[in-house]
Amino acid sequence: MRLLDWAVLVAALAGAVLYGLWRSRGSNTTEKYLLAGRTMPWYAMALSIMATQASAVTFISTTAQSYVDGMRFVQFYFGLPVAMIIIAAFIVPRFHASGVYTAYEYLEKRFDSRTRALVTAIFLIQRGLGVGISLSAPAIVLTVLLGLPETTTIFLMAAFAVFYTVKGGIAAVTWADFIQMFIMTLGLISALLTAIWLLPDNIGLAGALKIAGAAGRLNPVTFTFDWNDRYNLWSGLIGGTFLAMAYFGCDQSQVQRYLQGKDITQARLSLLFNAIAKIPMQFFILFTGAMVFAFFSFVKPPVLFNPAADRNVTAESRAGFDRAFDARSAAARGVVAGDNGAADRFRAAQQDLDQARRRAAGDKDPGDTNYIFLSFVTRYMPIGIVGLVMAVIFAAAMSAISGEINALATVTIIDGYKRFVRPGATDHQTLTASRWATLFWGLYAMGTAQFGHRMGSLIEAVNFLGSLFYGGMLGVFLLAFFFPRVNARGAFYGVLAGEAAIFTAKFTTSIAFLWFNVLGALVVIVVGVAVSALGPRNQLPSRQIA
Amino acid sequence: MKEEPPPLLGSWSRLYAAVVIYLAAVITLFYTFTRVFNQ
Repeated sequence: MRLLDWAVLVAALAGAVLYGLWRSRGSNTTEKYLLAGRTMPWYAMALSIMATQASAVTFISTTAQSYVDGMRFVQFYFGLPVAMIIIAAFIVPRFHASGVYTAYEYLEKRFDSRTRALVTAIFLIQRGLGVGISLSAPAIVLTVLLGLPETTTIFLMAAFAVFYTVKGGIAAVTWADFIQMFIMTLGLISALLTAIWLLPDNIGLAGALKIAGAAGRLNPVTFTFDWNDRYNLWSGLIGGTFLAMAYFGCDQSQVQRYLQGKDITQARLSLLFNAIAKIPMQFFILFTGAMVFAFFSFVKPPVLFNPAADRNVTAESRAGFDRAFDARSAAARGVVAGDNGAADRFRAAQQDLDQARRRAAGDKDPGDTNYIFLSFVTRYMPIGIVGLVMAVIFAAAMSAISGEINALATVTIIDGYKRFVRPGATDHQTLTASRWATLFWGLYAMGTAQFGHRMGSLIEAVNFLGSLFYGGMLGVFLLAFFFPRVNARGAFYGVLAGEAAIFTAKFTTSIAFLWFNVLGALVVIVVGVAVSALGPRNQLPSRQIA
Repeated sequence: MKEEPPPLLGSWSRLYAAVVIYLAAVITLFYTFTRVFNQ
């Protein structure tokens, strides 16, 4: 990166952080620190929800997903609008009416403290495992760019996010997210336009569409149903709805965004904005990846995008890769010219190239997919745009991390400290404990981030981790909202059974992870209803609350 | 906690219906995109 890139990067991030800190002045009570005094307008919550979900992983790994597998990953988000409607219609009014700080606090009001504690533990484990991955992705960026040790880059990355989250609480997080989302949008548009602009003169957008289409990369809708297929219309609509309901309806990192709204209308609007905006955003990120694929059909990419692994490629492997690339490049020009059979030749050449790349990598997985987009950005994008794209990666990382550690700290304090450890704590003591908990989770995230780079495609790792736990969490909330006769005992054993079913499915079947959410939630409901119905007659149904 | 109508379309039910129609339109558009460009 050159000086102008650094200037763009620093200006963008400093602007977001300072604006967040400025808007969070006066966060001197627990309610202000954890819920911004419940005064947040819908547009700030809407962009904060979007920014929290769009981690650096989204930009680094989603573009790569499209590069290697096509755009069908966008179907993963087809269930999101459906989930948003259900949450807005049924869940938001109940959370707001009950006046809770966390989603899990609601479970005690509806069931009992045991169910609350169980689901709290599941959230802390699941989100605690994921927060490190959110950090390790941007660390990969800096390591590639600057050659710094990964530990250093993780520290540098997290320090800003931890600082403003500890200092200003959720108001700082939300308003920083607000600016960061503008940075991400601007950077995303710039990256896509630049990727198209960089295509060879005689290829252009029309040629790039032919190339990406011939390689099967332009496939945002696939109807073929297969339990083992991760991304198709059906898994997206059904599994995606369950996953989005779990993430936006039960995961405190998202629930906390709309709990800070001043009323139900503001919270609902923030969710429905995401229902509209999220799919197009993901489409354009994936389309950028497809354009990068077309670009590298004519401009020779490195054998391995991971520079460290690429340096170890043998001369023989490199020569094999070069031959495979030349053959594919010739076939690609045939595709653009509309030659008969060129598309088949291109696909065959693509397979040869993939095989050459695998041979070059040897037995080791160099985590190559995570380096594709950044390799393109740093090698080919013009000065200034590189800084802007880097700002996108950093902004996304900071927004995701700040939201996650803010939520982890809130749950730790409200569902742990204030509920079980020190119920009589004053507001000042709770506020101080919240700041310490935020700092703890920030440091924890930095520690666990050291292992994130070993997890293949990062976006899939994050979603996979979520799917192991979200089914159980969603199931118990569905019981709470829609099954008034289910009691606390049913809810507790339902969650245990749901998690057992998910882990059994994980280790004994090969069904795609999106279905774990459906399976887990359904098992929780069936077992919860059955246990409640078959339980002791003298046990009353749980309390009904708003 | 007060519940007011949304600023658009007059009622929440209509707004939810509009989101569902939007989703159907997006999927149709993406399907057309797949049919036209993906070989």
